[in-house]
Amino acid sequence: MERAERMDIKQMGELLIIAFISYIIVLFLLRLSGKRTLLKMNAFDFIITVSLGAVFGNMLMNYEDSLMKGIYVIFLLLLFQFFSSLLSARYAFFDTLLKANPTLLFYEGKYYESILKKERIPKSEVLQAMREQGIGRVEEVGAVILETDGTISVLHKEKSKKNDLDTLEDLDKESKKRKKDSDDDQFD
Amino acid sequence: MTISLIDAIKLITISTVSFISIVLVLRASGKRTLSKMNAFDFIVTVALGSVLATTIVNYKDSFWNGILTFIMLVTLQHVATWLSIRFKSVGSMIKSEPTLLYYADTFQEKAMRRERVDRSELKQAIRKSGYVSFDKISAIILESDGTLTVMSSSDKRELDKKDFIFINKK
Repeated sequence: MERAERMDIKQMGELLIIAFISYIIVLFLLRLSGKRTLLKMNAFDFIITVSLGAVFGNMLMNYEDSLMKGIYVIFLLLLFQFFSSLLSARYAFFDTLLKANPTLLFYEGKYYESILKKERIPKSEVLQAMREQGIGRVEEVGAVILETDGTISVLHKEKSKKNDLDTLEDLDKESKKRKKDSDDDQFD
Repeated sequence: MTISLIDAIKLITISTVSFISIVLVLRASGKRTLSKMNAFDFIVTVALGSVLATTIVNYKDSFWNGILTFIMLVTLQHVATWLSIRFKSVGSMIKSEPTLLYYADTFQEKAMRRERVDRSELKQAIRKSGYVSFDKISAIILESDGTLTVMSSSDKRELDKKDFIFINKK
């Protein structure tokens, strides 16, 4: 099929109206699905957000073929995202199914080498995460955690000593065990 | 698949021209177009990238189409933000209000259920800002761009609920 390289006025007008209408429809759909849809708490959320943008861009470019399809796909993506977040907020079972637990990478001065290897994280990246938190010395770090969205959290030592670590209670099982072992060692 | 020399030169020219025109369009419309202040901004930014990519890859069919689509999206984004700072009703239509999810040692269970956010996600947000315990946290807010803001109680004076001027009055 040969398509003209230049657009005529009619096509331009069409595109103008179509872009306007789809902008409003997409805006409305997103608004309807709530702030949570774009909250990037796990790796999957980010992919969904980018897919939504890509579908939106593509559907405008090929509006002749795929306008309705695009809106339908956006609607479906939002719907899936809505239900997966709804279910995982209400039922712990779905939460564990859809989301990995955070993993402890470093705790009280000790790197967990085998875990770093398993998660494919070089030490240099752990150090980078510490620097990004403005920490200059490894001794100041209490714990380093790989989060479910693929970011690395660094917790200060002084902060973690004074308090009980209640944000660490949903670590994965092995991490919990490592933390417990390390805590036990300190009392010996 | 091979491309001829002429095609290669064409492609170089087209990508250069599209790049320049896109930089100009974005510059003309201002920084706000690409700032991600609400849920929709990010989607539009990605859509712009996708349009640019399609324009360059299918330049034979869709060069003008692409440039025009790009201009349209930027313009719509411009108009939407223009309207939303002038008319409150448009602003609240486009942008949802921030929601308080945790305040004064209590989880706002109802708000959390409504926004479909669970406790482990709040904990994650706290860890990401370098805190380890809820003790030090005075409030957690779900912002309208879908990020979680963690406010600590230690380094600021105690926050009062009425300090959160923006929080929905419900």
